[in-house]
Parts: sequence; C-alpha cells; structure tokens
Amino acid sequence: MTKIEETENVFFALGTALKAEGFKAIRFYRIRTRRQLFSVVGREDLRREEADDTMYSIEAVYEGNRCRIYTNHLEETENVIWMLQKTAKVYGEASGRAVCYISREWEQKTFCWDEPHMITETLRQVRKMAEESRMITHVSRCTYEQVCRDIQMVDEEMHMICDRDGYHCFTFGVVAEANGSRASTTDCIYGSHLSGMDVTSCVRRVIREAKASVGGGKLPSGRYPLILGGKVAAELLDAYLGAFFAGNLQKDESPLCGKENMQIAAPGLWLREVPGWSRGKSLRTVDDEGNAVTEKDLIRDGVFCQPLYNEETAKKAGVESTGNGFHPGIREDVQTGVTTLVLGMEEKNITTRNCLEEAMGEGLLITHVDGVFAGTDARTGKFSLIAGRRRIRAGKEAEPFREVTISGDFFEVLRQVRQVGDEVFVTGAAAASVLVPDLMTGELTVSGT
Amino acid sequence: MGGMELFDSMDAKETARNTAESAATLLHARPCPTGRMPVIVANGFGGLLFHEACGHSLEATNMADGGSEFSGRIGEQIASPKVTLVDDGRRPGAWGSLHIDDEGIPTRRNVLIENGILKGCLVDRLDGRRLGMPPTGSARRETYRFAPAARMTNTFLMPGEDDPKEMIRSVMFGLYVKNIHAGSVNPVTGEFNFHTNETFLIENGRIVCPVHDATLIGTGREILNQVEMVGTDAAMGQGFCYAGSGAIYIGAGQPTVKIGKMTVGGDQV
Repeated sequence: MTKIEETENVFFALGTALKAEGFKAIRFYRIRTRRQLFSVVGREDLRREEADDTMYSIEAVYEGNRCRIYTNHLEETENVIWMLQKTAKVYGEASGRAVCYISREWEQKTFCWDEPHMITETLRQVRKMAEESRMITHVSRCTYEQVCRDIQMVDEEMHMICDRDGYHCFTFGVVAEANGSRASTTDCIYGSHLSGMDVTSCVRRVIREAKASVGGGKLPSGRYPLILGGKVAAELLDAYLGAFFAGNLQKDESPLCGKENMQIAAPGLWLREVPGWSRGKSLRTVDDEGNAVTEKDLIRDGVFCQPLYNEETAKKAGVESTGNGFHPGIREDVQTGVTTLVLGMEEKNITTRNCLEEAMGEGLLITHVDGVFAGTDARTGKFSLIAGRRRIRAGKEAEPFREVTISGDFFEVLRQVRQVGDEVFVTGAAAASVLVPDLMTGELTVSGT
Repeated sequence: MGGMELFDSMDAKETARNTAESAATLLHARPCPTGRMPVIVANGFGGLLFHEACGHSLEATNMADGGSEFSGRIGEQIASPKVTLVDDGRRPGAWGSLHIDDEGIPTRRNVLIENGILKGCLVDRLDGRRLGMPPTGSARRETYRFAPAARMTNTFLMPGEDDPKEMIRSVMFGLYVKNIHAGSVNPVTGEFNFHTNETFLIENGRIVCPVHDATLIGTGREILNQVEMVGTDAAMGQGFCYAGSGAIYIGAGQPTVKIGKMTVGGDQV
C-alpha cells in the first residue's frame, strides 16, 4: 500500500467518525515536508540539517459554523473531534457551500534529490574559490537547500487532489575588506537540480559585487535618478505583492484600490504569474482550494488588469477564483498567494546593465537595501530603506557609497521605469517567488549628509 | 513568566487609548526632514536601537570567523563612557526571560559593554568552542526545526544621570522618537536601520510637530560613540527578533537617550 493510499484510508475512517458526530463539508489537507540543508562552515566543517515532517489540517462545518484544526496525530480521533467542536465557536458561520474536489490523476512529478557528496564537494570548491580571491576575508554563507512538499487534499466524498512543490536553492555570501572598510554581499539562485544551476557564475557575481562595494561614504542628501538592481527590485515587489490581492482591494488596504484597468506602471511594463517556471521556486499546479493555477497578467502594458482571487474573495466580487488560494502555513486559513511572478518590459526596452548605466549618464545604482520588512508600507506603497552601492558618472559605475536612505513610492517607481535589464534576479527562500530585472527609473529622495 | 496574574499587570484599555492617540497625532504629521541631526530616543522599546546597533554583532554566531565589526575587540573602548549594555535572561517577569537556554544551560546576566568598554559577547556551545569561550546561557531557537544559536534575551542600556527634559532643550534642530517600529542590522558592516512610529520634530529646544516616515540609519560603531546623554528613566519594551534560529521573544529597553548625530531618512530634502 502506498503512503497516499494509507493516508486515504485514515481520512476515510476519520471522515466516517466525524460525520457520525454531525460534522459536514469535511476537508482534509496533508502536507509532508522534506528538507535538506547543507552548509560549509569555517574552512572544512560541514553542517547538515534534515527534516521530514507531516502535518494535517481538517476543516468542517459543525452546527452551521466553520471549524478547523491542524495536527500531526490523526489517529487520536476523540481528540480531533473535541478540538474541532471547540473551534466551531472561533471561525464563525459557514458559507453554506460544500467544497467538492475534482479528482485528478496523480501526476508523479519528480523531485530530484541531489546526492550529498556532490553537494558538499561543490560547496567546498566554491568556498575555496572565494577564500583564495583577493580582498575576500570571509565567506558568510555557503549553503545548498533542497525542499520538497507533497500535498494531498481530500473532500468528504474522498475525491482527492495531489500536488507537489519544491525547489533547490544555492545561497552564497562573502565579506570583502580593504583599508579598514568592509562590504558584504549575498545572492541566491534556484533550480531543479544542482548540475543545472550555474553556481560558479553566482559565486563570481557575488565576489565581484562585494569587491566593488568596499569603501565609499555617504552622499549629499537630494533627489537622484536610480537604477534599482534586480535583486532590490524583487525584494520591493515581494513587499508589495499584497497590493494585487483582491482581499486587500476589497478592504481598501491596497494602494491600487480603484485603479483596476488604469495605468499604474510605465507603458510596456508587464507583471505575469508563470506557474512552474524553471527559475522560480514554485512547482504548484493547483492551489490549496483545489483550483488550477493559471498563467495570467497582473499588469499588461502598464495597466493593472487582474487582481488575484481565492474562493472567498472571488465570491464577494462575483467572479471565479484565479487559483491563488494558498495557506501561508499549516496553522493558517487559506489566504491569497502566488506561484511565480515575473516582471518584464517590451523587448525594445530591454538591454544590458552597462547600457542602462550609459543611458542614465548620472545617478545611482542600488544593488543593496536593508530593512524592507519595516521600511515598507503595504497600504500606501511608500518605502524608506537603507541602501548602498555605486554612483553612476558619465554612464559608468564609479565610487561606492553606503549608509544612505532611499525613500519613495513603489508604484511611482514602476510608473517611471524607462528601460529594464536583460537578466532577472530572485529573492531569498523566505520570500515569494518573484523574478525582476534591473529597473532604470526616475528620481527618489536620498538622505545622506 | 507566569500565569493569569500577567493579565492584571497589563492595562488593555490604556494601551488601546495610547494607540488611538498615536494614530490621531500622526494624522497631522509633516514629512520628515532628511539629513544628519541629533536624535532623542524615548525610553522603553527605543532600546531596540541598541539591540540592532550592537546586540546582533555581539552574538557569537557573528563574532566567530571574524564576521562581526566587533570581532577581536573585547577589552577595547567601543562606545561612549555613558554606555553600559546588559543582556539578562533572568530578569523577573520580562518578555525575553527564560530559566534555561535551548542547550540546557541556565540563563544569566551578561554585561556586554561597561562604561563603553566591550566586556563580552553572547555565546552558545558550538561557537563557544570556536571562540574558545564558555557558553553564556544564550542559545535560543524558535522550535526544534532550527539549530540553536547565540541570541539576545532582554537587552537594555543601564540608566544614567541625565534629565530627559534637558535633552530636548539641548537640541536646536532634531528629532524626538517616541517609539520605534522595527529594524535590522548587517552584523558584518554594522549598518543598521529603523523605521520609527511616533516621531516629533524638535526646533530650538522644543517639540513642535509630529513627522512621519522617518528611517534612522547608521553603524553600531558610530552610534555607540555618539551617545551624549543617558537618562534616569529606564523602561523595557517587548518584541520579537527574527534571525538564523527563528523568531524568539525578546525584551529591549533603555532610558531616554540623546544621540549626537544620526542619518535620518525622510521625504523632505
């Protein structure tokens, strides 16, 4: 008997017991997470973390009220029933619609687990490469993570949907030092297996960026035109994803309220959800409500054309769900989420970073920000962040700068984008899967001296 | 740590009233000026300033391998003589207190900086072996899913002798920060940043109006040496800290403090 069949039997038995107690509209959700993290610490020490855990959540309707629990002990039937009854007072009235999944053929999506010796050998090699590099005093991060999540959703008629999610992530960070000044840089790349990921290029890019950022001081305060490096732009987009969620639009908590079908970004700019894109970190084909995830444009030619709906917000708006109902975690109710988002521009406005700098002439290249979680206001679109990297003078990168703040409005930044880079950058593993190129935009307020 | 008696010590109505007043005040806030200026940080959760400015840099995870701006500097003057910074996991009833750390070692009071001299850091078992230092009861983690690492518990600046009202009178043009929202630090370079909540402009020694969207930045090394006045009104705040071993409860506190010069990021050039 496979694990899935075994779980199905457990669900069936528990579902029968729950129905006998008066529960209706029962839904089971099982998620098994397997994770391996390898890191090389110090010169030789290998640190390895492994996790394999399975959690369940059960939703139902009891005496007209919604109830929900999460547990990893489904076999404790009496306890499960008791906890569900207790939560019926917490979640409020049920919507009255029983969810029925459309059973899907279990498509055995393969997740490739890289061999530990291959991973550790690669990590040791790249670490050595960095440590032998001039000016690099310290490798702050050298990790490889592989995460696989198997998801099963079963309704009370035992219709089942299975899906799989996961990613491989290589993260590398270094510290460069010269003349008493230090700079640190970290970057990461995703892929479906180690041999398909250009780890060496990532390491070289990180080393180059760290070395070029050593030294420098503050800038005079003022307004400067900027090139936002792709990684920075990706962090900002991740911070403002909620602006596109129908729930926030409906509650008047989005800077895009009232702006559907209006110009919110530069002409030619697009933002697209591309499920399963190889460079992203989501493989989902269905959302956590059993609806298929779909490729869609959120912004097309600068126009805000599509909010993101789960079932609840879709019902309020009188539309169909867009397949964006996801649990942020097993403990939480379904909210709105995304698979992989990519920001881009029409082809004639795509060029290399060097060409962006040349076109700008005078300004700033920002490839590092910090404080995104505190310095961004998702309701208004405003941000104020510590930033650094290099001045652009006469179309070329010049001296580094640091310890300045940049302040502005994210959607104003999108409105003023003139050209974008030809390479996309990602955010860290804790963030959503967003890929964004360098953005050459207008002026922002910089606070320095 | 305790039971239901904790509810008696919390005045929910007062907290709600203060929050509403704070929101109402900010309705009339002007854009924050930008540039370098003196900043007075009020007592209580303003202690997050020191939590970020130097607390993380003094965790062994960052000190080992030379990854902190304070690596190798124990015994040196790294701050103004007015600065004495303590991390105390045994503080009664405090948000970040615990009896034993997540490696089974009893927590304790650790003096990190005394009169401006770096006295020690926060050490877990693993990085203690790498640093050649004994653990300090500072290993913490959010859940079993994280490996424990040296983290802060309740970190606070000891009170001084200066009058908070005098601090405001001493500033010709600067900011009074009533509370801090959140912040972060790069322990390698020491660069930190905060976003403030209720913030007021000081002109000619008087608080004149509220301002919004202020970001304070700097480096730990610089800020510690810019502490000019330390008040008598110590207080603690509560919060969460997110780092390598997950989200943990922390206390952060200080008396009212005057920083001689800080970079302030705002809307108004």
